[in-house]
Amino acid sequence: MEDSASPHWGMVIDLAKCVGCDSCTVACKAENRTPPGVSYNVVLEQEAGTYPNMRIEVLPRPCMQCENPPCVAVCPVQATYRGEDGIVVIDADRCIGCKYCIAACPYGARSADEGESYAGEMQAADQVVVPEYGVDRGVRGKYRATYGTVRKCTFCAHRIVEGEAPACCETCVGDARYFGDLADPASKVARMAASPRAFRLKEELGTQPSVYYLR
Amino acid sequence: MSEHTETTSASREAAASPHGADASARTAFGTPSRRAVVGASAAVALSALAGGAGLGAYMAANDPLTDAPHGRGQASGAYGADDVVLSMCNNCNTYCTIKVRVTDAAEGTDAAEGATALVRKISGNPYSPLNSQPYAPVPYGTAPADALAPDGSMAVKGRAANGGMICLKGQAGIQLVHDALRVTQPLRRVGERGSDEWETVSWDEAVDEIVNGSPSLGTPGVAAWWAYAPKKDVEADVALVEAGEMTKEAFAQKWGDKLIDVEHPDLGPKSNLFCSCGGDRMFLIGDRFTQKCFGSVNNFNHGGVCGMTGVMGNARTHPTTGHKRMYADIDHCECLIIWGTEPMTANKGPTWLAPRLSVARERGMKLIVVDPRQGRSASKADVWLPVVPGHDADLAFAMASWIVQNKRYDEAYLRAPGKKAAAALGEPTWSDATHLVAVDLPNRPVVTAKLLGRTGEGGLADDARFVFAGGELVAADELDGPADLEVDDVVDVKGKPTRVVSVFALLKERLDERTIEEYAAAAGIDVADVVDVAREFTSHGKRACVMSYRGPAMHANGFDAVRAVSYLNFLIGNHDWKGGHIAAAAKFAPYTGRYDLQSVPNAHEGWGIPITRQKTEYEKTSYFKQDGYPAPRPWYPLPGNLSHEIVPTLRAGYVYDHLGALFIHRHSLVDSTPGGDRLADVLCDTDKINLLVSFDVEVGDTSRYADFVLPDRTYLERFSQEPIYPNQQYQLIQFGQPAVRAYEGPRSVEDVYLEIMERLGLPGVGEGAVPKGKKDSGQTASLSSEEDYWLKMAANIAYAGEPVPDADAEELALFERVRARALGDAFDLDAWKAAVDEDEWPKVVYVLNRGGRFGSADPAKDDGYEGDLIKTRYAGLCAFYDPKTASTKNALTGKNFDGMAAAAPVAYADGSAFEAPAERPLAFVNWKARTNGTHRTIASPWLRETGTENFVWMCPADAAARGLANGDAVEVAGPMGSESGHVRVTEGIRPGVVGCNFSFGQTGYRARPLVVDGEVLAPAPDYLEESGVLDGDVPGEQKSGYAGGRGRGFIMNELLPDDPTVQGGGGVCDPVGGGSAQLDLFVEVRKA
Repeated sequence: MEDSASPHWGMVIDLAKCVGCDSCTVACKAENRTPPGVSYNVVLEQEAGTYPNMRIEVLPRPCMQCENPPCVAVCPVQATYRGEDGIVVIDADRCIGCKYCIAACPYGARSADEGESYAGEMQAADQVVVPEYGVDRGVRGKYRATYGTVRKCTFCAHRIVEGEAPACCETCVGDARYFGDLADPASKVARMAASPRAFRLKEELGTQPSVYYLR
Repeated sequence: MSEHTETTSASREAAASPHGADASARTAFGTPSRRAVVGASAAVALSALAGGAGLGAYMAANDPLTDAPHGRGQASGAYGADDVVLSMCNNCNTYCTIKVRVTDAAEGTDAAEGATALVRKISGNPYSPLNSQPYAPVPYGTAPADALAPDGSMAVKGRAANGGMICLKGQAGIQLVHDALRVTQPLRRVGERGSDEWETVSWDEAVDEIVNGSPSLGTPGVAAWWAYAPKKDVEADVALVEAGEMTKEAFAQKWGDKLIDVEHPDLGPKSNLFCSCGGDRMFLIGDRFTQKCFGSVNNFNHGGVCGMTGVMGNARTHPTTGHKRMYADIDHCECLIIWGTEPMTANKGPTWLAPRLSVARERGMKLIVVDPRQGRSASKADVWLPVVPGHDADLAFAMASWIVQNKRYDEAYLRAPGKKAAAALGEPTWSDATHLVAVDLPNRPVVTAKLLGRTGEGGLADDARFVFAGGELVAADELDGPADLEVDDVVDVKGKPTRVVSVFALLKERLDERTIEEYAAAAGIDVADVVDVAREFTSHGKRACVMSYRGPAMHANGFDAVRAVSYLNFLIGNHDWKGGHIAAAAKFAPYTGRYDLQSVPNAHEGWGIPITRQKTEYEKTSYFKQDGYPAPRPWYPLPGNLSHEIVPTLRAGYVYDHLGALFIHRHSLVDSTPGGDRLADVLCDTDKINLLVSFDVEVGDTSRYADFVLPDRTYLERFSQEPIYPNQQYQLIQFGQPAVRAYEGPRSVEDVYLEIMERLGLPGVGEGAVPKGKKDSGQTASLSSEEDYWLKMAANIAYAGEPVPDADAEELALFERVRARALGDAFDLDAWKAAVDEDEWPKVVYVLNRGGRFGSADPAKDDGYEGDLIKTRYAGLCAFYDPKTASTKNALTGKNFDGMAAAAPVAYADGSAFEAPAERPLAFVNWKARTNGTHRTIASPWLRETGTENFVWMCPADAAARGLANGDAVEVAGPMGSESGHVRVTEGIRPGVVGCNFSFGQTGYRARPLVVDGEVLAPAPDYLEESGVLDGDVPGEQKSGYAGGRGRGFIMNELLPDDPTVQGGGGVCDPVGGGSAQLDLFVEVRKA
């Protein structure tokens, strides 16, 4: 299906190994320097069963980078689209901040950048800006850079270019998060995605996420 | 599908052509190389140009979801070895190795407020096994430029090896160093202590007033009262007085200026009125500066409010080396019992332990977790045992009873009485199961050569123990075969027939005091579950282990609980075996070698009675002669670091009625000691603490009461090293070093101590302060600055064992480039080089360039093991029975402590019952938040987003009975008052038990406003409030992405009871272990 020259970036999260520590969440904040209220990755929590036969279950949730992304379908300005490498891109220059995509995403993976800042308690808070999707947008601030646009996990596209895994995968202390080329059957993620334990969130919607979970 | 493919490649061609990128420009990762980079503005222009034609093509395509690239470029923020300092984390006491990536701060002083560079990102050090489990780290010999560059295999392998794992607290260090609310200049209080009003003073003024007194505050300088007297001189005169050869008046005349109290010479010199409490670097600030330069025994780390009771429980069951911790070799364990600790998100530490636990579970290791609430570790367990708090010993005894009754113990191991017999079995350790106790003699001693009067016979030492073998009394160490396990006999002790019982028989007798059913019922666990777990635990040979920490330990019966839990390991003899109990901690010696950093020429050796009455037998002091039993407060013959005793002791005025100076760094008494802000009466009393100096990065909850707050550097701006890792099998030492300097004003604690010591004329500072080379070489080196100390330590590390190679020219140049760039004028190459010998420098650089020293740590090569044994071993006695404990007494009752663990209920210091009153029936437990490591980490909003406050966990039935729903505001009523919080209704906690983490509720750290130089400084932002999420995050969710303020939640310690049976109050403590019993609390929870 994929052209062999192009990778299909994908992520596999082994829920049996995930310890729900939120190291991925904070690594993402540190890497992507997202503003208050915007977390590309969160760890969701739910309880199953009743005491004492119960378990607190956790599920890290980045952007699913769907092959059939509902967010893209509703974008009135084609600011968001699926790139050939599987990464769903948001072009901040085109995004008009209408938030249709936030409503359309069945995973809650998108949030609005309202220009908020940590400057109230962080030195030089707005100086470090990550080149999201490989685009350097200068110093952060209201009415600058990504202010007023919708944002989401980029699979750390800027890190992948350099051969580094996304920050969440690099730091995962549960040894639960893997990244790589799903199009390469020899890759670790392709092999894990083929596991009988593998599933994807809300598979029934036909969104075809590039993020696989192992149950 | 085929159409889809065509469309995809068609759009790629469309994409490639305007950018002019051909196939050859693509890297191995299928993305255009930087050769094809176009600037962001150019890309925008291009997409605008292509707009008309592109839209048509787009609409014609049947895959509207994939588009030609726009809003996408090739900027990566690429970095390399030039941007990295490898260092050590400080955000919990694990002290992980880290990789600190820096980036340039914007030009201009206003832009970055004086920062020399900014920390861009923190990850794990790729050289270190602590950040790379279960994979082998990059070999130590690899050049930094190669180690820190991705190797191109990520797409296939799933990870890149140039960055390691680090937990969320480690990640958040960026916001701690770049905390905009840091104190950057010394502060002197305005008005009374605790007024929350300050004025800025210069470093020179602050140090001068600390040394010579503050005219404006009226606080005395250290120089005004400090005096030292050598122990042997004083003791010689005491002997003269006792012999009637010197009058008391003459003694008082001679020593009155030097001793705290001539009526109690054993209290020691006035130098003991200097007290240092610290959260780190205590081998330097405590052991060297305070103990040997200031000449004070009063230096304490936070152990007393942390693991001290557990430490003593372990040390007294591992007497050969005093081994302090109970850990498992997770990598080979088949059945692991995690008892009252949370290694997946806390302990020491998640980055090292969690991935190995993950892999072990994947391999099929059975995991059993004992914890009244379901933490992250329990949520991964095969069996969760929600024990009743304070009844850990009951559960351990229930299991031990089943193991003993069913003979599931390793009999051959237990019958080996000494090293020789153990060696014959291939056992690296042995137990005292066959050793004999003279049960009817005072202090219930172990039967030794001394007791039997057989010292010297055949070369027997005083402490050579005796056993029965085949009915004959023989020396344990001389046997190379088994001894008798169950003995109850009579031997001749100095002419008197004396009953002796083997330790194993005593254990059986102790276990038989109650039935398994009774023990299980007390622990609140079904007998069937106890039996299942005991059977599983004894079904894996040596490859089973209990690891434990605070849970069983931090009760008033914690010393016994930890000993009882230890017995489970002893019964299967798992010490030093692969998959069993691990005691390894192989270092590269940091304190000696090239420089003797522990010795101080012409030292003032501290001596006397510590303010905490620790490591002191009451009966041997002048206070016993004065007061007898009961003493007004407990004495602690065994433990140390009882920092929680300082304040209640001063309140009682017992032994110490005041301190001349209390210095505190990276430790907050208020945030960690029972009573919390109730400590304020003493902290504010200038008669009890004449001078209170706090080193802090902000004005914290304890610094609030200080006379001076001295701005501390964060760990990312200074050197550091901490020795703590008895749970890992690889040889390593981490080393912290400055990565940036965020603000110009703050100084390292040790640097300020050095200046104060120099001004006081104390030894151990300046020229000749550090002995050099081999002992008695006569050579010395200087200790005038922090670099002087830390780089000498780096030299010791570099030369430990086989020295590291010299850094080559390329590495030396890299070292200088990185630091000149990251530290700016805070880096003085010549001063750094001058700290060590010229020939040592390239080796020092080699160590610094790698963030420490790491032995080979490849799991695939079996590094860290020798066959079936762990390489670095305990190799000593596993003691069910401790004659040392049995010989010491409770100073309140005069009764001996028990040499063997008992499953007794929690009690107050005088032994009276400590039970739940009818009006407060809920047991309250607490734990460390996975989002916070120390009180300092509250300054990170990233962390506060993942945990906004310390919700009070409660089961649905208990909540329903109180009309509470998830998220309700509640009042938690304890014995001393109440706290306000919010309830988290969850199935994940035992009915009848409630609890919360202890990591919230600060009022300092700008949770509240602060007045400095007359200006009101606003509190840190509360993003939840600013965003209109007024009720805060829903417990159990974190969907808002907003952090609360720094003051959300409540200080859990304030709920803890004072012990009503001792003078001066203070929290309830274990009478032997001395640690505060922070898990003994009963409350009621009401809707607020």
